[in-house]
Amino acid sequence: MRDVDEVPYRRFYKGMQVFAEHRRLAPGAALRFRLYPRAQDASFAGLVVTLVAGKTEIPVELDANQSFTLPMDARLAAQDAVVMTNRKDGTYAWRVDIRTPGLPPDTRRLGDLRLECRVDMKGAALRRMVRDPSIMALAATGDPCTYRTFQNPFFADRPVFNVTLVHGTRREAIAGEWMYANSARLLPEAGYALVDWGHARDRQYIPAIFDASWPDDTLLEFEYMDAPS
Amino acid sequence: MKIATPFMLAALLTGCAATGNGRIETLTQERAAGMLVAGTTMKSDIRLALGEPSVTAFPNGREVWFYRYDGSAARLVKYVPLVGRMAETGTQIRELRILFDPDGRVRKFKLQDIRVQ
Repeated sequence: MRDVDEVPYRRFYKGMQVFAEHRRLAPGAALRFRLYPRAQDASFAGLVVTLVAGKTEIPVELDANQSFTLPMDARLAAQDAVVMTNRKDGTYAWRVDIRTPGLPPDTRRLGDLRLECRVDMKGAALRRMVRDPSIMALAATGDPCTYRTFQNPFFADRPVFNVTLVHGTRREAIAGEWMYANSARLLPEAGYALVDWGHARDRQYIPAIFDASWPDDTLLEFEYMDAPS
Repeated sequence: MKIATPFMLAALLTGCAATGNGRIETLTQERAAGMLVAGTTMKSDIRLALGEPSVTAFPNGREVWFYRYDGSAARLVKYVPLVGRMAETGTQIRELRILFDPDGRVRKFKLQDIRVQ
């Protein structure tokens, strides 16, 4: 097995199918994918991403946030194409990235996060997590993203200090217990191989995407660590 | 010898004593701002005033300290896996969150009442 950070194209393809099926959650958004640092020494300098299908290599264009799109092509999925980086396995956290355009700065939309979860759990399976049989059975027959007991960690764009859900006059912050992987604080560092947030805890937060009392248009306001008070 | 009945256990698990750090129960935004001065206040000052925090440390040397006060219930049941999360849902807590720079000085803080998700 080669020591390269890469993901089979067919997983992205399955993600695109789920996105098309559930895009009512984020009707104005496009489907992208994004790389976050995962290894402690992860760097984006000189990063090259390529879609490789047999002897054909197609460069994948990255934006300033290391996010990218891919063509939706059943032939590439059948050909065992691969999306490949020029880095070692485990360097990056690969995530689905769905963002409704035109939102205020430093906000995300809850419906976008719900769709990210669904595309990952029911299709792309990009997140590194322990996908035990009970979770996979749940993903096959239902929607684990709607279960309170299923934790869905997300990454903020930068190290984050506070996250508040806002809809109309209703405002609720996320408790510290659901930030920085504090709910998994007993996981030893050796266990970081099983997850993708081990060295990026300062970006991690777990919003209540399961809570149907928050509509999809709910905004999450981010106060970053480096922002003035 | 007396044996705990299911009723007694249930009472224990859902008891109604406050938990967490009582010193932040009555802390106001103004008093917190006076105590937690960005670039000046040190960890030791805060430990002296508020006691031991729950600490999240990051590889770059920054830390976030948490002080939490739950006035509604002790709810020992929250320590039971899975069930605990359900039991705590909707609980109103007061949380003081403090970010420290690697030099050990306060960078910012947040004092807020939160309904646990």
